[in-house]
Amino acid sequence: MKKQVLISSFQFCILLIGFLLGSTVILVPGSHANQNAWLAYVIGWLGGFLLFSIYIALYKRHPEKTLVEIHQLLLGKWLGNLLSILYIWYFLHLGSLVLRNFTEYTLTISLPETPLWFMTVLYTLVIAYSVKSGLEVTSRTAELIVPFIFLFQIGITLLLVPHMKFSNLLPFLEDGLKPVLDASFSVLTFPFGETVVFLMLFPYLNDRKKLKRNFIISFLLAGGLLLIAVFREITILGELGIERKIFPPHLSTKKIEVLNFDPLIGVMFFITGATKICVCYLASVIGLAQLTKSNDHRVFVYPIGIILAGLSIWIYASAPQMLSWAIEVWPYYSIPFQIVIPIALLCISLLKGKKKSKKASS
Amino acid sequence: MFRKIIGMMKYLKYSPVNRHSLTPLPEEVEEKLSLDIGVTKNRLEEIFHHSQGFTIRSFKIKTYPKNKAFICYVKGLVDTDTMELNVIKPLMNEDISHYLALKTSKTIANTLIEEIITSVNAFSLQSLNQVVEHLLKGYAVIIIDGSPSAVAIFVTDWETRGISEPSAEMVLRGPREGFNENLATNITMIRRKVKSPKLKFEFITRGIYSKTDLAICYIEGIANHKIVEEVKSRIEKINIDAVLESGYIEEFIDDQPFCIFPTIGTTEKPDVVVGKIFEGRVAILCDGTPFVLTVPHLFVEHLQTSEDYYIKWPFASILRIIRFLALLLTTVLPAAYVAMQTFHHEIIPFRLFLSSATAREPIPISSVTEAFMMIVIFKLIQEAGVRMPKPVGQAVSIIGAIVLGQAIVEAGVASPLMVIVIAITAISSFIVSALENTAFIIRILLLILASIVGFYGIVFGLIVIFVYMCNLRSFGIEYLFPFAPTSVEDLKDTFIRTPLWMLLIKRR
Repeated sequence: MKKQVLISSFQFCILLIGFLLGSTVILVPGSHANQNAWLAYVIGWLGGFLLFSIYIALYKRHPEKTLVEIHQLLLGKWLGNLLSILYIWYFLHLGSLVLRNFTEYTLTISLPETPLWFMTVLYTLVIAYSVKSGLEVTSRTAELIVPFIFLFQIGITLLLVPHMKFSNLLPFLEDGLKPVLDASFSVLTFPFGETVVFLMLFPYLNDRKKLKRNFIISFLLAGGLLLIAVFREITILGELGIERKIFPPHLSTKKIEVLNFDPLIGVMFFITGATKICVCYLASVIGLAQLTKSNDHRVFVYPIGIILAGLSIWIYASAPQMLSWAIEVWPYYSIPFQIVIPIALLCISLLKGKKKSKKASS
Repeated sequence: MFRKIIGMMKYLKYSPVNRHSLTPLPEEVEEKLSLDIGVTKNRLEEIFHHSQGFTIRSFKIKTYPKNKAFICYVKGLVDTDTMELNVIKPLMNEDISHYLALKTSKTIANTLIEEIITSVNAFSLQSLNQVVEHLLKGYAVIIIDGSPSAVAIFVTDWETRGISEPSAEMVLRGPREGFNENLATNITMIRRKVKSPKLKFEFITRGIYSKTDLAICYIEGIANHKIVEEVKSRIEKINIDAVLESGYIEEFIDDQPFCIFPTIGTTEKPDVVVGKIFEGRVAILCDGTPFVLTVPHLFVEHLQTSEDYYIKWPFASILRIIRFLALLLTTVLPAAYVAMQTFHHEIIPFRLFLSSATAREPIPISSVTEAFMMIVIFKLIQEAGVRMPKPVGQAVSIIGAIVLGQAIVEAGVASPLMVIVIAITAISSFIVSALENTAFIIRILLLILASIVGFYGIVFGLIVIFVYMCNLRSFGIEYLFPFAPTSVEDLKDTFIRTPLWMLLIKRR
């Protein structure tokens, strides 16, 4: 299975960019740092570079191996598989959160009378079709549509320039550094730390030597685009705006005269959100296939899809709960998955490697 | 369940359907020519019993000891003047006794070919099956008493349509010649443009009764060897009674038999075919039709025309972009209009919304129904216009434009905005005419989705179509090739056409 599917470095960049933009195109990352959200965002961004470097280092120690296989190798069969199951759950959970984000957005903004389950099922069907077609087709589709995001984001930002008030950025750090660091931590775990999912996809790259370069390019591009969006929201809506509104970009685009670009935000979110869900979905499906030593991961697509859809409906009661959960619970819930376990795995791998080299030398 | 059905259909497609129940054709049993001329004559008359046009003309070969012989042919397929002048006249007049005395080891048939017959193309045949086959191809065959072989002479000549400009592929600039129904003419037209021995033609005959000649054409060294082999093996698997048009071949060798996108290209113009084989593609010519198939056929080729390479590149690039725009409009526009009318009023500028609402006010049906109705009416007019003789076709267009277009608005059945939307959709669909039927299916699909969840439905539909297209392959090449997987080198010939000196002529 591993040798058959190969994705090019461009496709990998596109997947990573789509993943990072994800649901952040309709939210403002670090919004609870008010007018200093941009600073919180930048700190989180830099932390993201560090985290992803750890993931790459872990992968480089065990090339050709996915996270599930690394677990088995380093922690043995039982503990390793237990951890893999937890990770698969985590990916699935992440996917259903993004799915709920999207359905909640569409229902709140433009289709208030449509039932939640209907949008969920429709969206899941589209994504399941893409996942069923495989990683190769998914990444090809992504490279076809994700580049449009840049066009849309930059276009909308340029149209909004007349409405920007740069005084909204002041006062700078009025409550000290603590709230900013708090917010930056949540930025680190959402979206940057979530890239731990890519540990499942690294072995499918066809040019692994350029991995580091690709990761830096994608982080710079996606991060830069988000930074522009954060600045845009702060300067247009002001501190109260980004803190109180559920979906700030939706409100700011409404300020464009004559034409209403609001659906464009929805389209953008659909594209990036779909990329993110697809990656999570694929990761959990591939993980399950490797856990059960099955040759074809496609058998798991529909069962996992049903779980994904069901989970996204049950997970929250309302949109405000979704937002508070994303800010208050998600970062702490993610710490073990995004930070603790990968670092621990890297340490174990390094120790084992030392032992081996000692044995070899003696 | 669906997989089972599809599997069964595939089986039907690629398996001989109970050929055993049919009576074996005379060709299927190898039969030697009899030394006795009378037996052969009777046998031929028996085979061609009730087959109008079969003619036998007996004569005597001068100075040949057993001088009985006859020449047979199918009337209408051969040129009798050439036959008289180059075959019968020398046979009856020339003295061959000294040749016969000189070279005893040679058969009489070979002696005749080498010494007497002045036709360009003549060869000997060994069996009765071959004789029948060549007779039906338009050869004249001489049967000689006491000889185990017969002589076939190429005197084929039948009426063909002259070379004219194909009406489906008009150009403002570029060669105006198009293929006709004769395979030999078509091959010469390609050969004239590629004066190189690297240009290869391989012949395969398909069709149990029709025995249609197919030619696989490619340039050695440019075309991918694997693709040529794949094309050959797929064509050889075809088992069908008759091949009347290249469309038969197209359906049998398609990668995805149930696909709504054309993954095999067709064209009527030699310059287009030559351009494609220079890009490494393989062309399949079929006798009896001016439409030549080219494989692999990628999505982007629907938006390229041969003219793009004949005019200056900035203008060609503008036309390319216009074509992409047309494809987008023809698929998305009705759905987008319905979505705006039904779900997203806020997008329409306020003044326009007011006027559109006023126009829609007297109309009793929903905008989705309105759109469906108009799309179907447009399709009706179009189909009527295509099949009608030209003078009637004009009447159809008058009915379409004036009676339906104007009256439908005045009667309050459809809003003027909807008429504009459908008109733009229709005009755009003519620009990408190769994808017209595909666009129709996508248009309806998106319209249904848009009527359910508005713009989100359109995006859902488009993404599903993108994933579907990414799944497609044409002879092993990804259907969306220069876009996905992205190849910067090949993108130079898509949205814009870069100057010719920047384009690599050879690909893959």
